[in-house]
Amino acid sequence: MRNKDGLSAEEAAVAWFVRLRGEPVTDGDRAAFEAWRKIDPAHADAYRVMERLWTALDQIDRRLGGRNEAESTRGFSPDWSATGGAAS
Amino acid sequence: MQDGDVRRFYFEHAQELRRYLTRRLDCAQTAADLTQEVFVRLLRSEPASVVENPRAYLYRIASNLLADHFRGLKQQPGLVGTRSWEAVPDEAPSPERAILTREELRRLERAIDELPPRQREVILLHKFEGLSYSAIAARLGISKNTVMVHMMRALAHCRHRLAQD
Repeated sequence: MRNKDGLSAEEAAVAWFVRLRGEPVTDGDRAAFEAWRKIDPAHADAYRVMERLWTALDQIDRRLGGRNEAESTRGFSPDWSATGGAAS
Repeated sequence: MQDGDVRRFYFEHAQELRRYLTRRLDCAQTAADLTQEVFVRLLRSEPASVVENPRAYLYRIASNLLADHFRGLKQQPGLVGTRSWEAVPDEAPSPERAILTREELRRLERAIDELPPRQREVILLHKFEGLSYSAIAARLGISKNTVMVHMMRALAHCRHRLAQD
């Protein structure tokens, strides 16, 4: 089911999830989110799935056994010096 | 890691780490406890495993503790005294914490593997290193909007894969 913006409940839930993890989140954002969530049970369900998915990534990470750490040293620059810390 | 290094490291990263854990746990007290525990473990870790990328190592410890916390597993006894976070706070939303089935986890894992490199970088930096969208934007030299677009595409892909047979 698509709303007037052409988004399915799933797509809208993704968009809200990403937006609410940004900073700053205004009271207006929250109110708009709550309105969206309450207007249709499918919206609330879709959002809950996103929360479960996000939490489940913790388990994936552990199963991958350190791949994220490897990524951070290989794929992107550690940028350690720029944060003011020393690696040794 | 020397005690002095850990102390300095604590000043530099404790606040950021606590914010990150608070966001993940929705509980400031548990987040504060877990932050302490992370540094206790850091203090006890093998020096060689820390030096490569201490910040990533810090978040790896945090990530493991979070996973244990969410699964309610018992930690190794004797590392620290009281584990107040084992008392799950009443306000913790339980349905959201529900663990996915093994099959769903497998799909999710595959979905992450399938992501284009940039999307994966963004979602991993946000999820496991606790970087804000702005921090990711600065690090990767892209706009904050682009970071959010990568996040949305990455999550949409994961969501899509999760639902598939």
